[in-house]
Parts: sequence; C-alpha cells; structure tokens
Amino acid sequence: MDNTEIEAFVTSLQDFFDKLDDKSVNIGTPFLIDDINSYLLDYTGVISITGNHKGTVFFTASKLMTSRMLQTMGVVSTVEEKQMDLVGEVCNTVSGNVRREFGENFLISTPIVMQGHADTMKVSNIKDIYLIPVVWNSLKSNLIINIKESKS
Amino acid sequence: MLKIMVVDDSSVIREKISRVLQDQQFELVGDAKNGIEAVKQFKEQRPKALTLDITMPLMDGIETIQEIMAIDDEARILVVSALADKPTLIKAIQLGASGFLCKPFSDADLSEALEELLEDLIDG
Repeated sequence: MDNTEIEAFVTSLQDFFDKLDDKSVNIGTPFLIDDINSYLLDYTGVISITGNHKGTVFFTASKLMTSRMLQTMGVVSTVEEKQMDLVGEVCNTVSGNVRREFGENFLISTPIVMQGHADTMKVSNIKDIYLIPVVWNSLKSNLIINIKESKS
Repeated sequence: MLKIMVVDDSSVIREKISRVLQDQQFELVGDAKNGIEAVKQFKEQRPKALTLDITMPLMDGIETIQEIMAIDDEARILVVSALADKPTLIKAIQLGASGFLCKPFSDADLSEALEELLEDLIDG
C-alpha cells in the first residue's frame, strides 16, 4: 500500500466518526505491525477484499466503546448482538468509502464478526499489516489493513 | 401516512433509519436484512418507498432494485450504501433507484434525502 491508499482509510475513518457525533476523534498515525492478534479487542468486524486488491480489513473495538457508540447512534438496545453488528458495519462503511480512491473493482464482502481474542488467527501471506489507532471519547479501537494490489 | 420499508443487513442501521422514519410522517411496514426478504415483504406490503443497502448477503441491492422495479416501477428507492464510487451510483440510478445517500450519514442527512425523494408524495 502506498501513502495515498493509507490516507484514504484515514479519511474514511475520520468521516465515520465525524458523522457519529460532534466530539472530536483522534485518528492516530498508521504504523506497521507484525502480529494482528496482539491488537484485537472485544469485538472485531472483518471484510474480505477481492478484485483489484486482495486481503482483509479489520475493525476491532472494546465492549465499552461499542456500547457508547450505539447509545450515541440512538440504538436502544446495546446487547452483544448489536455490538457485534456495529463493528461489522464500521468495517463495511470504511472499506466501502475507500472505493472513491480504489475504484469500483475494489470488491468488499459482507462482514463477518468475531468475539474475543482470536489467539490462533492467521492472516494472509500479505506482508504489510497496517494499524490505524482510533481514540473516540477516550476509548480505543483499531482499524487493521492487510491488503495488496492484485495482479490478476 | 406514507408506507416505507428499510432494507439493510445491519440491524444497527435498520434501527437508526427506522427511528428517523418514525419521527417523521412515515409508516414503517417492512424491515428486511437482504434482498430476498425485501422482495417478499415488498410484494406483501406494497410500500411507496424503501431505503436499500447495496452490500448484502443472498441478494444484493443492485439485484433487489431490478426485482422491485419489475414489481412496481413507480416505487421510490433511496440507496443507502457505503459504496462511494460513481459507477455504483450510476448503475443504481440507471436500474431505477431514485436517490443515493452515502454511509456514514447523520439523522439530518437522511431526513433531507427522504424529503427530496418523496416531496411530491408527501405534499400530495
């Protein structure tokens, strides 16, 4: 991934939280990580990317953060099912929005959602894994991007 | 009241949209999480309008637009999707969608899009 592509994800994350409420969100500087498992929080939404890129995008957040986000959105129930749905939807929205940069052949799957720390999770053999830290209302979450351009 | 239904695979988004609709002059008659459910409910309830996601399991929003238009080509469809590229927007409109709202959206964004989409029906 080049800087322009990473910046597209940063912008998309910023847009998501800007629409959520008028409180400031801090989107941190992206950095490379070696092992995804150390950065997974309570709930993780996962989107598979195919087409002109291949790989995976993850959005992972704590229970407290997903509860607060649901309350802010006016969702009455903050049961676990809703919290899991939310991380999938954030991942879907952020990945869908970057098609402005990546084009219509940046194909995104419907989200799947994981709960807890998947200490056996294996990612693809795509070398670079970028993490973009997000702090909203003093609560932390991470967007993790493991994609590369597809030659096929 | 104007009959409307909400189609999105995210229950959180369905609830958010439903809340905005019910705060306004709409009767929510359907709530579907994929295109197959949406077409079934559309046939039963015959709403005047629907909000429709694109990326959904089993039947996506693009195919759903075609199915809905084959049943009622006067139905008003507001596509509410994260797919922010122009070709997707153009394809949806060409197939019969009447409007497009990009996720993420605020309550005010949704209200404005619905008002624009349904102004003549609401006034009538």
